[in-house]
Amino acid sequence: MKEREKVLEVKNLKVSFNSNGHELKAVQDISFYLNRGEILAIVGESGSGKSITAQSIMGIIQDYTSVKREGNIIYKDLDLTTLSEKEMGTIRGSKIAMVFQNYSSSLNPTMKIGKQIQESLIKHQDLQKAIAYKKSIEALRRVGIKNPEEWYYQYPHQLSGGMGQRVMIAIALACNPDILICDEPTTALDINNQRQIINLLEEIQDKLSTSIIFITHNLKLINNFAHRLLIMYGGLIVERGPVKEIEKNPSHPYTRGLYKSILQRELRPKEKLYTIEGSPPNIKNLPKGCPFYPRCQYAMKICVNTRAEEIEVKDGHKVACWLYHHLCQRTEKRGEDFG
Amino acid sequence: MDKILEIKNVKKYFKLANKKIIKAVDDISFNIKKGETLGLVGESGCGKTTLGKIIMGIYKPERGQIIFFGKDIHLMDRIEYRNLSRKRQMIFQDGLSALNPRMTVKDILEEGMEIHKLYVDNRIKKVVELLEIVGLTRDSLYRYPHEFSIGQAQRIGIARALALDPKFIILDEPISSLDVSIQAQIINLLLEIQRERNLSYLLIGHDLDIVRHMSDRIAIMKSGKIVELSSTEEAWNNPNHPYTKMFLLQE
Repeated sequence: MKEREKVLEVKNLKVSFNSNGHELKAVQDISFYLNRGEILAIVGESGSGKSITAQSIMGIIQDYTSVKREGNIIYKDLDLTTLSEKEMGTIRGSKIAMVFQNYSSSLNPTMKIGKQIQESLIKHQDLQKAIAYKKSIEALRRVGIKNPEEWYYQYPHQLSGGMGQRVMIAIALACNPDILICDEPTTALDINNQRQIINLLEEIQDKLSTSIIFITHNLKLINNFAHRLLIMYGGLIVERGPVKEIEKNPSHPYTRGLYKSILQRELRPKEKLYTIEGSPPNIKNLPKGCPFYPRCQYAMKICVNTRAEEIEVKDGHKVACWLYHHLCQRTEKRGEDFG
Repeated sequence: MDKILEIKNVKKYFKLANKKIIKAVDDISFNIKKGETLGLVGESGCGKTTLGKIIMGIYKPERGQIIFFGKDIHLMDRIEYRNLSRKRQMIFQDGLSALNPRMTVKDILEEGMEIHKLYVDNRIKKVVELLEIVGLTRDSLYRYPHEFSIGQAQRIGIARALALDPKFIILDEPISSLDVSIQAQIINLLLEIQRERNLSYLLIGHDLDIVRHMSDRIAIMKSGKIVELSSTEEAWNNPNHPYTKMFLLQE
C-alpha cells in the first residue's frame, strides 16, 4: 500500500546541551516514524523536548562542541545525520520544511513577503524570476490569501496574526516538500484563526499528500485532525498510538492526567478541576527512572531507578509505564480508581 | 447585590498617522457585582484588552464614566484615587515579563505595601502568608523572577495582586501562556481565592471553555462594541445575536 510508505524515520535520537559543565538532556533516546500523507501530532509541555526533536530533523541543531546529537534521522534511505551542511541545505526548505510559532520573528521584516517566497524557489529550483513570481502568487493563493498580487508587495508588519501564519505556510510549501513540520503554528492565534489554520493544513495534506508533523501542547486541537499521536514528557515518548485510540483509552498516568485536566463539558461552573500536582521536570536534573514518577500517584519502587520499556496495549498503541508490565499486579492500570 | 464597578458609555478612539480613526472601544456600558466574574471574549483586535486598560486607568477614555464603588474615578481626589489602586488589581498574560527582573520576590510583594504604608510591623509575615496562599514556599523569598518557571511566576503575580487586599481583579488571559497541566492548577487557585475573599473578576480571554467555566455572566465584543451580555448559560444555550452563535458554537 502506498499510504504505508515511510518518509521519515527517527532512530534513537538523543540531544543534549552543555551549559557551564552541566549536561542538559533535552531529548533522551526517542524513535518514531512518519508515513506518507500522514499527520503525526507530538504533544508535550514546555521542556519536554518536542521542539528540539523538530529542530534536529531540520538540521538546525547539529553536533557542535556545546550540542551533542546522537542517533539516526532517515529520510527516504538517506541518513540526514551524515550529511554536510551544504548537502543539508539542499534538503532543508525544499524536501523538509518548517512552520514556526511566531511569524513576526521568523519572517524577514525588511523584505516584501513575495520576495521571501521567491527566495526558496530560486535557491532550490533555479527558476527564472518571472516564473518564480508566478509560482509565489500561486503559493499565496493556495493558502487562502485573496488578491495575492496585492499582498505580494506587503511587508510582514502589515499582516495580521492569521495572515502571517498563512504566509509562513506558503513559504514552507513553495517547493512542494514531502514533510511539513509545524511547531505550535496556532498557539499565538485566536480561536477563529486556529480553526482556519487547522482546516488549511488538513486541505494541504489531502490535496498534496504532504506528511505533517504537528507539534502542540493543546490536546483539544488535534482530536479530529491528526492520525497518530506521540506524548512526550521529560525528553521521552511516554505514549504513542492512533489519536482516537489514545483518546478513548489513555494509559500512561501522565496522559490520563492531561485528558482529565482538559475542561469537560459535564463540569458544573466553577467546580474544582482535576490537576496533575507539581511541575514538569527540570532538564538539569532529570530523574534516573521514569521522568514522571515524582508527580505520579501510582509510582512504584521500580519507577525511581529503572525506565520502563514500551509495552503494547493494543494494536499500535504503546505506553512506557511499569503498570502495564505483565508481572505488575496492580489494578490501577485499568483506570478503575480514576474517579 | 452591590455593584463594584459600573461602566457607562465608555469610548476610546485611536488616531492613526493617516488621519483614520480606530474605534477600539465604542460606547460600552456594563457593571460588575460583588463576588461576580464577568467574562469578556472576542477575536483578537476587538478591543477587549483596551477596555481592560481603561478600567485599570492605564488609558484615559474619550467619553464615558467609570464608577468604582459608587464614585466616578474622574471626580475622585488624590487620596480616594490612591485608595482605589489598592482595591483594583490586574493579573497579566505573561507572568514572567510582568515581574521586575531586578527585584526579589520579597521586594515585589512588599512594594505595594510600602507605597500604601500597610503592615508596617510585620510585613515579612504577610509576605510569607501570601506565598503560602498561592502555593509557594518561604525559600522563594530572596529569589529573582528568572529562577522560576512561568507557572510559578504567574503565582507570584497572583500573590502581588492579593497583597493589598483588593476587591476587584482584572485577569487578562491569565493562563494562556501556561502548560496544560499547570493551567488547571491556576484556574483552581483563582476560583478558590475568589470564593474565600468574595472577589469580583473581569476575565478577559479567548479560550471559550475556560471563560465558560469561570464566569457568571459573559460579554461578547466585536469591533469595539458589546454585541451580547447575558448569563453564561443563556449565552451558550440561547444566543441572541448572530455573531454570538457563530463565535460560541463554532466547534
